[in-house]
Amino acid sequence: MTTDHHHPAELAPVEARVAAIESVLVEKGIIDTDALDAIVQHFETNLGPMNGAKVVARAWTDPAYKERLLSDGTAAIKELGFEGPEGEYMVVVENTPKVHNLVVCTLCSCYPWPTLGLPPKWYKAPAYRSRAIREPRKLLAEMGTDIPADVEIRVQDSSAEARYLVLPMRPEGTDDMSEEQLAAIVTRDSMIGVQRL
Amino acid sequence: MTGAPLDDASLPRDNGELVFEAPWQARALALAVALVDKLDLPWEVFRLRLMAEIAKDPQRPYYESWGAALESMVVDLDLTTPAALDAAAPTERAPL
Amino acid sequence: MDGVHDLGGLDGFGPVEHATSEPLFDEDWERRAFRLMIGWIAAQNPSGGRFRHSIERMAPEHYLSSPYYEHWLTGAATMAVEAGVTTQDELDRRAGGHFPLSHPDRGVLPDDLTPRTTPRFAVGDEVRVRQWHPPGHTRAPRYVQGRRGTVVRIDGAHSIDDIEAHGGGSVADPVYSVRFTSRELWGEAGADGDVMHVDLFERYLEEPR
Repeated sequence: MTTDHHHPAELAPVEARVAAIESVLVEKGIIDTDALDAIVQHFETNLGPMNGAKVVARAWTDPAYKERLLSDGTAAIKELGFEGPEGEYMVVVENTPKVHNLVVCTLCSCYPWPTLGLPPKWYKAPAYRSRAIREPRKLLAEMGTDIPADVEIRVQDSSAEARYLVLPMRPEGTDDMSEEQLAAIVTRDSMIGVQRL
Repeated sequence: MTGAPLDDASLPRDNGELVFEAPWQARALALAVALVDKLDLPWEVFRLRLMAEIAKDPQRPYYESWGAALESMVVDLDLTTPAALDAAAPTERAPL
Repeated sequence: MDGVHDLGGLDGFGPVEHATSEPLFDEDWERRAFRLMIGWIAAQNPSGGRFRHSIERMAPEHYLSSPYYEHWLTGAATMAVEAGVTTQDELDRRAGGHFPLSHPDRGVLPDDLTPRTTPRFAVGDEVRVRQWHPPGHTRAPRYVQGRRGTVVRIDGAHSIDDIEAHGGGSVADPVYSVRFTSRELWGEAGADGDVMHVDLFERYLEEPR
């Protein structure tokens, strides 16, 4: 940080700024971009809502697992091999005919990486962060999800350590589906709470 | 970035200072990904081993179960032996 | 700090630009910004709070007008300058133009750094959130400060970000999920049938009066 008043007036393009700090960190031996690429690839390929969908499908088909999931989300999610940064303390919140959960991080972009991957742009942008906590019912309606007036909307602000996964209600007409087939119908948006299945 | 609840006994300490292990946690992750990729294996293969390691010790931090899953994978794939892993001296910390 | 990042309840941001799926990174620079922040965190191990606060300290107009990964770029570069790894001048030179960084860190540590692992409050207790307004990093959003709610869950003791972000190390403090009615938070603009659950450290809370 600086109080230098002689800095150049023109803002450097963001690509040039990324290259600038990256070159400093590489030269000082602080980062190794090839090794880091493996981690980025992990985020791109191995983390994503297909993981959370497996958790949901297991909960729908195995009542004992569902009970474990709701009482200790971290442990139950770990049983399926999903753990890691931003998943150290998981709380799973169940949607019911009386309660609809919606997850937001008003202060930044906290999101359960091991089960849902990295958050989408809209989740991190000011419109969602400012409005979800204040006018959730109207916001959900705008996003195509109408919650009846007699259903409580419960907004979870991920302001501390807990990272939230919504357990959506199992849709009608899915009794004959296998666990694998069920996982295929669980969407990312239903596990954030902006959509009902 | 911590997430698991703390109690006085569970905070890792070194001479009264808290010890953080982020660099090698990231290294375990990078190694797992690079290995799986190099061997042309689907990530599921690693995840199944991870599930088994977590089941053995559900309380252990995630980076330790990752490390254990990696070890079992490289041993089972005949890439090394447990004795060689035990004998390996810690290497210089290289940048990640 | 009462920064512009503390967005809960603010008006004027318009509709959510929702898409059901999207690539992780729109442009290559975003992937590189993500990569270098991950590398910085792996190498230097700043606490989550220190990293987040490096972004919270951005000039408000820069924060609101830049894409998300530019926040990560700016935070990482700011931490690098503050760690003495580089300077504003060097970054400007290498970038061929001005490289905006975040404002200085004004956080202070409280006098009392006593860890607490035994929760003071129980599920069902009414609590009030203190009018905290610290100059540095906090996880008590402005919209709950001064408001009254009910404890609905206890998450055990965790390192409180307000202290760890400013060099105070890991100080344990119980965390609670506190339930607020929409009317309590938003007054006449609130809605019956809506509730907000916010996760709050014990140091933010007091007995209601």
